[in-house]
Order: sequence, then structure tokens, then C-alpha cells
Amino acid sequence: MDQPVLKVNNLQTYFTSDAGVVKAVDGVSFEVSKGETLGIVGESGSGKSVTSLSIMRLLKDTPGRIADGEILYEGRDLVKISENDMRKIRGNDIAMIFQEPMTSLNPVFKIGRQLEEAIILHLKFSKKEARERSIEMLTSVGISRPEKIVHEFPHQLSGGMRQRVMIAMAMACNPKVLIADEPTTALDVTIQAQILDLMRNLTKTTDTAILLITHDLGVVAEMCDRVVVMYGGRAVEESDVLSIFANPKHPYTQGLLASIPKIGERLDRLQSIPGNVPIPSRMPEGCKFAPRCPHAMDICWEKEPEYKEVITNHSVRCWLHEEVPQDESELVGSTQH
Amino acid sequence: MFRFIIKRILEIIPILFLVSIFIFMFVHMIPGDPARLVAGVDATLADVELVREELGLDKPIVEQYFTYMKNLVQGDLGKSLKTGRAVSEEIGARFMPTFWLTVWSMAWAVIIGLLIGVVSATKRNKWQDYFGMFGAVSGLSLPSFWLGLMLIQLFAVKLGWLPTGGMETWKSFILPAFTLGTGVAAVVARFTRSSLMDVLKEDYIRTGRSKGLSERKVTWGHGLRNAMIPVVTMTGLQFGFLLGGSVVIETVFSWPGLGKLLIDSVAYRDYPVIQAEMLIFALEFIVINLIVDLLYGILNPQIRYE
Ligand SMILES: Nc1ncnc2c1ncn2[C@@H]1O[C@H](COP(=O)(O)OP(=O)(O)O)[C@@H](O)[C@H]1O
Ligand code: SF4
Ligand SMILES: [Mg+2]
Repeated sequence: MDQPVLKVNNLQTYFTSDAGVVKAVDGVSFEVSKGETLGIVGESGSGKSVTSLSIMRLLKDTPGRIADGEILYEGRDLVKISENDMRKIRGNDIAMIFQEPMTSLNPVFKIGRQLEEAIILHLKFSKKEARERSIEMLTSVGISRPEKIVHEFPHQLSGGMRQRVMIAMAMACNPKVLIADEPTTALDVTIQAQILDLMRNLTKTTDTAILLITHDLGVVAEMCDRVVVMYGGRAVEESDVLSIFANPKHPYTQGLLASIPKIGERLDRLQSIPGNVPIPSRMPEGCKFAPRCPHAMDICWEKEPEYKEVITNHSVRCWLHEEVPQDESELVGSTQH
Repeated sequence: MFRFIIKRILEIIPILFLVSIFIFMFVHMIPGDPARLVAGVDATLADVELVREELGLDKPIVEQYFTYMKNLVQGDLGKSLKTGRAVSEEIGARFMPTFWLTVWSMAWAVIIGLLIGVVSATKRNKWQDYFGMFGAVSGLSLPSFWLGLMLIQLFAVKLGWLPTGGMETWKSFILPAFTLGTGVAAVVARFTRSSLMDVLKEDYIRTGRSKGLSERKVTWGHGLRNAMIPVVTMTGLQFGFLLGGSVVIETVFSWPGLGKLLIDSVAYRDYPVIQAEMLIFALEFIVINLIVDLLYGILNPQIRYE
């Protein structure tokens, strides 16, 4: 396997407010290699967006900060580099598209200008070259008559078109990593499929690594090579997509899979797992999934399991798959299997 | 766009017509007898009646109005009761001083107001923000005539750097323009701050940052351009208040403009001059509104002119 382009190690991102510290992300690790698509799945509130914003270091005007962990991009730790250096990476090496295509483009500037901005900034193109590149990018995302679209304002385009523009914008500087935070959630089903197709084809030719954030396992099955499952701000399971679907080890992943609706149907809420995602400010002591877990044991309530590679290429955070520490073995019930 | 402007200009005519009725009624409701003032203190009752007849003030008010309108349509604003000169001449001489005073006041107020607003919004809850907003609140709460008098006292009387009044050199503009613009600068600053703070929370600002743009480009390029949309409307309204404010300021600084002329003509019950002045104020209001609407459309591409 290739060297990973992006490697996240035990990321912790905390939000500080008057009410105290909220650990929105508290122990997330994964890596993604060239040309690979890594899915990040989990119910809403599990910390997926905060993880992606942390990688881009876009938490500046939120009360959030990266408290600990490493984000290694080609060996450099993005947590430690200066804001200036980070700016050279944003939009150039690592680009991002967002969930809300309707509001992610500036309403007062023409499409062309918004596309050219990053091209001029990072690739040092002239205005004319940047315009050519923009038109080329719009063509590549399947927009017809791009020469006309560059002169239009965002409100003149549909949601699907705007998301295509966002993709064109993100891909314009040939990023090594593309972070897509629920890129199709706000779109209707037929458009969703088109946008996913487009992302797959575009990145295949450029060898871009994708971090695809979603709460839709259908999308994961269709798009991803590997999957990280997040719960309560933690990575709880990671493996290749086949192993995850065929042999899920974490009870939460098992619950997610059991709740998959028919193919293509949208998954807004996972009904089959009883209970809710814990509020970060009121996390249970031990395993964060214990209140909803059908296999919860005594130790699960007392001590959080570690995130471990239990077999090659398959990591899990669950006492069921971990050697119980000797001195605490008497706490464990008879449910071990 | 061109058709929109034509349409708006045509709309001005009926508005001005209505405004003229109100002004006429209002002016004739001011207590006092212009005939007596024109005739002089020593005049006999018969003299006063003679003058009244001469001025047409003995006629029923409706008839007076029609005479007034007939002349107005022909571009004749009448003669000043006080000086006997044509009203258009009286006003013409006073228009430019007020115009320039207003323009300079507005110019510094908008520029400084925007700067303070942007700095306060980007340095929220830091000393720059507190400092800027303290200035803005002070600017709003100081009565302008008091501020004017204080400034004259300090810079003209004590230090002798600037003239106390009149309009001889460019130096004469500094104190009145500063005084007149203070309130507007304060309002623009506060409005820009809150507008920009809202805009900076928008998704497209995050998009700008995700492209690798600097904070400066995000704020001044993407942010301010959007934040300006409500600020322009607000500033247009301020322009109106500024016209009103000039009446006070021109008196404080003996400025030879329309505001001072208005005060003088009200004291003299100089009906034709008062009417003409109020008509001009109304017209200015309408023109400013038109300009604001056009600017609004230029700033906000989602507005279409039909
Ligand atoms: N701007 C913010 N201020 C405070 N807390 C936040 C903010 N953004 C996210 N959080 C916290 O982080 C948690 C995870 O949010 P998020 O990453 O958006 O979830 P997901 O994308 O998985 O739905 C939220 O439940 C919330 O408590
Ligand atoms: S650690 Fe315990 S509670 Fe948590 S998922 Fe595993 S079995 Fe369930
Ligand atoms: Mg999210």
C-alpha cells in the first residue's frame, strides 16, 4: 500500500463555552492514501464535521480548538504549522466541499470570479489563464455552456449545479486530498447519484484521496474503499468496506448495518438503534455506546475501551474484542463470547 | 436599468405635487402675519392691508395655492418677501455651500464609520472593538449643537487654529463638517459592525477561507461587499437626517447655506422662500432614495430592475 497522504492520530477537538468544555472530537485516528476514498460514517452529532474542519483548521471563529493529536499531511503536522503555511495548503493541497450548496457560494460575485480566486492565488495564473482553467473545470464537472455560467451569479443556478461548481472550485488546483462533508445530503436523490458519479470519475483520473463524510451507508457502499465509523466523537471501527459490511465487529456498526433501508433510499435517522447519540457534555463514563449497546458489560460502564487493530487492517474500540485487563477481569460478566 | 431610472423619475412628479400641497398648508399654518412684517412696525392698519393685497395674501387660501402652483409649473418660485429678490436667486446662492458641507460630512462619516465598523467586527470583544463602539455611542449621544459650540470654543477661540464660522477657506469646512458627520459616522460604524458580524458567520465565508484566502481578503472582499447591502440603505436614511442637522449646524457656524436661510425666512414668515426650501428638501430626499435603490441593486445581484 502507498504511504498515506493524510494521517490523523488521536485527534481531540474541544469547544469551550460558559457551560464548560465540550469534547466534540475525542480520539479519532485514520489515514488515507493516494487515490483512495475513505468514508467517515456516523449519526449526526458524532463529530464528523468537526473532524473535517479540524483538518482544514477552519475552527478559527468558533469556540473550538484542537486540544491534542496530530494531523500529518505528507509528513507535516498541520496542527503545528503557522496560519500562513496552512493557507498555502487550503484549497491547494487539501480542498473541501460542504453540505450546503445553496449557501456556500458568495451571492454577490459571479461564478467565474469565485472559481478564479483560488487558481490565481495558488497556481499563480494570470486572469486570462485562470478564466480558461475555470471553464475547463466547469466542463469537467459536466456543466454545459461554461462560458456563459462564469458570468452568472449563484442564485441563477440550481442546487445541483452549485454543488458541481463547488466541486470544480475544489478540484481546480489539483488537490491531493478532497474532503467532502455530506456533499449530497441537501440534494434530491437523482442529483445525488450524479454528483457521486462525478466525484468518482474526477478523482479516479487525478488520484486524489477523498475523505467522504456521510451518514448514508448506501453512499459508503457505492463510493468508498475503506470506512471509519464514528460514535460520540470517537473512531470506533475502521476497515475496508467489504470487511465492514460482511464482518462488522463493533455493536454500533452492526446496528447501523441492520438499519440500512432499501438501496438508494435516504437515511436521515437511524431508527433501529434505540436511544440517541450522547450529548458531548453528558458523555457516559466508560464506553460511549454502552447506554444503547445490547452487549454492554459491567466494564463497559467503567472504563473506555482502547482503539486497537484486532486483526490486520481492522481496528475496533470495544471490550468484546479486547483482552480484558487482568486486575479488572472479575468485573466482566459472562457475556464475553 | 435605464427604464427603471426613467420610471422612477416620472414617479417623482406626482409625489412632488402631493408634497407641495402639504408644504403650502404647513407654511400657512405658521402663526404670524407676513403682511405686518413686510409693512414694517410703524405701518398703519390700512398700510398693512394694502401690502396684504399686493402680496395676494387676502385671497382665499385655495386660490393662493393655485396661483402658487401655476407659477411653480412655469419655474417661477416667486419673490422673497424680505429682500424682494427672486426666490430662485436666493436659493441658488445658498445651495452650493450646503451641498458641499453635506458631501464632505458624508464622505468622512462613511469612510471612518466603515473603518471603525470593520475593525470592531473583526476584533470583536477586543480593545479595538470597545474603543470603536465607545466612540460610536459618544458620537450618537452628544447633541450636535453642543459639540459644535465646544469645538468652536477649543479650536477657534482658545487655540485659534480654525475660524469660528463663515465659509472663507477650506479650513472653514473642518469644524462644521466634523460636527455634522459625527452622528452619521456613529450610525454607520454600529451598523457595519453588526451587519459584518452576521455576514462573517455565513457559509460562503467559510468557503473563502477553505480556498486559502487571507483573513483580509475574506473580510474586505467577500464579507464587506455583502455587509454593505443593508448599510447603504441605512446611510441613505442618514443623509436625510443630515439635511435636517445642517439647519442647526449652519446656525452654530454662521454657514451661508440653505439651513441658515430657512431659519431666517421662518423668522420673517417669508412664505415663498420657506416653501421653496421645503420643496428642495423633499426633492433631495427623493433623489437620495433613488440613488440608494440603484446602489442597492448594484451591490445585490439578486435584485432585478423591471
Ligand atoms: N460551533 C460549535 N460550537 C460549539 N459546539 C460545537 C460547534 N460545532 C460543533 N459542536 C459540537 O460538536 C458536536 C459534533 O458536531 P458535528 O461535528 O457537526 O457532528 P456531525 O457532523 O457528525 O453531525 C456537536 O454535537 C456539538 O456539540
Ligand atoms: S465496549 Fe461494551 S458497551 Fe461498548 S460497544 Fe463494546 S460491548 Fe458495547
Ligand atoms: Mg456534519
